[in-house]
Amino acid sequence: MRAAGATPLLSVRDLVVEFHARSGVVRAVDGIDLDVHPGETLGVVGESGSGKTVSMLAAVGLLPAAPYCTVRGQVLLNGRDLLTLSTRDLRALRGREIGMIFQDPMTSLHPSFRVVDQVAEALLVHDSALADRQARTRALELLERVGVARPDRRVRDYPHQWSGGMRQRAMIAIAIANDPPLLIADEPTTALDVTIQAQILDVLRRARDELGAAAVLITHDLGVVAELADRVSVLQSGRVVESATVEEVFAAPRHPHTITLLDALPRLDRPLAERRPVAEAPPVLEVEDVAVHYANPGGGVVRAVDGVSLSLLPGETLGLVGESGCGKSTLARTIVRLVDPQAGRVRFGGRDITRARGRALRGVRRALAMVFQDPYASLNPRMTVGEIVAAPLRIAGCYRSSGGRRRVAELLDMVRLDPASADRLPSDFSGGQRQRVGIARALALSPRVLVLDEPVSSLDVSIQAQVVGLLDQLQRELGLTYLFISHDLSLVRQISDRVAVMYLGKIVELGTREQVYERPTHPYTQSLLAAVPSPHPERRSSRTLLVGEVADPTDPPSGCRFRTRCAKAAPECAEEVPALVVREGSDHPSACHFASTAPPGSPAGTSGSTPDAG
Amino acid sequence: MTALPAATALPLDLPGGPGVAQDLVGPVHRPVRTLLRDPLAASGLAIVVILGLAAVFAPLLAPHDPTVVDATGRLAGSSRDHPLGTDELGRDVLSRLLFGARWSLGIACLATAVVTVVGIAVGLLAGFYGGLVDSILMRIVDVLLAFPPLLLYLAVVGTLGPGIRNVFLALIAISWAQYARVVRGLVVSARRRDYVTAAVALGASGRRLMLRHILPNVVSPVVVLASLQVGGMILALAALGFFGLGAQPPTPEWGTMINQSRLFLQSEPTLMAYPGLAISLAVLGFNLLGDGLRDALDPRSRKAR
Repeated sequence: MRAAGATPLLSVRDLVVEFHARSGVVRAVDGIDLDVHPGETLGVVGESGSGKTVSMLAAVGLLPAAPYCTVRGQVLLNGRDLLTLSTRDLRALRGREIGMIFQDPMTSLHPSFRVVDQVAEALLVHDSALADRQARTRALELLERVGVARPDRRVRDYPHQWSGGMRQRAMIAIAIANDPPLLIADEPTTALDVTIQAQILDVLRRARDELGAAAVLITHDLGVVAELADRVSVLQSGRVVESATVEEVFAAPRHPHTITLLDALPRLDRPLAERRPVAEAPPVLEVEDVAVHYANPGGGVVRAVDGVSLSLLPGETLGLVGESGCGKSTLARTIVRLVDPQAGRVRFGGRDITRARGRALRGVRRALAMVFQDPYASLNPRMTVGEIVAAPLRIAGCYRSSGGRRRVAELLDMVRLDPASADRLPSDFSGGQRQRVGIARALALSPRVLVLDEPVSSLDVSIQAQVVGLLDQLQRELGLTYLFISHDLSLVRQISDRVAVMYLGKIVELGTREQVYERPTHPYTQSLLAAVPSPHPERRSSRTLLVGEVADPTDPPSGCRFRTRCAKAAPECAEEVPALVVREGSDHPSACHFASTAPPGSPAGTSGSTPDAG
Repeated sequence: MTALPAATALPLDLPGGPGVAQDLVGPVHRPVRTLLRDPLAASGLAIVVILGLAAVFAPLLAPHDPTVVDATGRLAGSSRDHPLGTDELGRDVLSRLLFGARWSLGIACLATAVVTVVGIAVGLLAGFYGGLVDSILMRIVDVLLAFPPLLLYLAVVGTLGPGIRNVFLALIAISWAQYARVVRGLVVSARRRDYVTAAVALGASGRRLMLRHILPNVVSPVVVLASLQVGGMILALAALGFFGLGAQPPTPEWGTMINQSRLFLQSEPTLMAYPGLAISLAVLGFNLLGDGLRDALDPRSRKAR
């Protein structure tokens, strides 16, 4: 696969990108050299702001025009310098010689054109002789090639009718439409679940191999790089700090920044720090048979949470894992009383808070705080950080009595933010810093339990590690109890005492960290674990992928809800709902008729090729 | 003697001026600076400020009493004593224009201010509570927006009778609907933001959510709308004055002035041109300012710094 050919396909020399802001010149890329040989995949790795995306956008001329930014250096594609090409030549080359795949499949497809037509357009812009009908036929073939099941049935679909994973497949179809010799993928899986990420990486790998194309894979996640790349260039502050083969980088990283990134990578194969034993005590929070159903605007009832029971012991962390759409956020919102359940009870400190109102509810709000997923959306852009952190104190009417500004400074200090920054607006802070503000706000009233809804999912891997470290420390200092919700299994493994795995509104497996990670018995848990990118470039793709996507929650499959994606599925799975009980040969509850630690066999068909998304 | 209200009775509230921008939460200097850097917006602001000053200092600037009739000097041309000449009753046109600014701009700005407040209140309630409250309020809005506004102004003034006060009431009674509709839309989308959910999770009261968390995030577009609407108000006021329904002679309101000068259009066209020009200038000023404000307050342009 790796071509050690003499002339690189893409050769970037001394690339400098400067942005001209009002406040001065920002040098985003500071003299980068990169080489991509034919058929080779280069991983470009770095944190947000390291210049990895900017350098690639600059290379294909997608940055804003001259007064806003200047690009210097040389970008040679097959010997032609892209930086000196006219707009017209560049346009002819984009799509035909370079296929781009962007990060966010939600925004990079046009919302008011049919998906098929968008794929067809990629063909039509480069071939005026092609008839519309032919282009559409080719588009359907392309969609089939990237694993969209029965695209001929989806001819009339618009992007909003497709899931994120499906849309990213469509993006890949567009990128490979003209058989370009070079693919550039900018964080192609960052917005996706692990299972879908594994599928997309697989599609990318096959697309690349079928075309024999070279690829540039831009990502902050070294795990993804280990899956796909041949060589790696690590970027920091606009410079390449290390460039080596992927095996060398993982086996013997040389630059300290590479080592930092590798250390920050949560991985399943690393021995874990022993967690403090949780004291025997009655649970502080109990969820009993909670069900949350709501009317779907498109008709039907979404059974977001369907009979979930959990309990949290004081001082422990319960990790709640599952794919998007499994109901974990709804469950979190139900616990903090943002959503009212249709059935079941939530008990806090032994008292039923499911219907608490007025004073009782205010008491609950003080003791049970929530940290939200998106640090950009969860802070009011018009309030200063100090005001945001003080808000719970003011609402509870104890701003003065708790010390006012002193308390705010103390809280900011607790989350390792400079107390002097209290007068600044959220827009002055980075994602990680904003999430610290969100944590400080949650801590303001000294709660006993924190519900953390994907608190680090939108952050860079290295920032994730810092925030998780902070959460861990706060838990020890303040004796907090956490419900830690995440779709990232390796992350949950780091911080949790016990783990609950959720699928389509139900808990399918529950146990201690060791039980769930070392002896998983539910096929879903096993598939999730298999989907985590392995930081071992030398043994990649020997795993079974979970096919398809989460089934339609308005019409869940009968019996076991996972059976449509399960390799072990048998006729009885469609009839009987498996209970969450401890089964023979296991030491923890699992909702599978065939629970066993043996991994599921290979699913029917090639992995990822036939997603039967509902 | 004069029908003028005390100068303080008509505060020249200039929506979108620095005074209003200061009320917005957030760094004040940045939008203002952006505004002043835009030449069109800056000239709009200059026009508005100059007209505003002219209105406030009309008693000092005007060479004559705007209502004093001089039977001997009717329809005189420009002279040292009367720079813009005199009208059909021998009143000084310049003085009437200056005092007219008080009426035209003052009423328009005051009406815009009241309408903005009413519209924000209705929009907040409808968008925040939703359900039945929303349905009822928005159906009223639908009705008001279903007719040409001028028709509704005429209907209200026709019912209440002509006069500047009734015109003022008509402007308010009809125009709030547009603001309510815009604000409701903004509130509905702001309501779903995580930071509002976060405040709900902290137990914030409905009032606090609306005023502290939602309102500041919907104010900018409303300020822009208001500054663009002042021009519309000036025009509506002038139109009603022209129909003879607004300020009654001898009150020097611009629309009324045009109405009275129409008999002399052939012989003394300037008599109609001056108030017409004043109206155009004021509308232009407010529209330029509004466009500039929209750019200056746009959070995207601020983020891009």
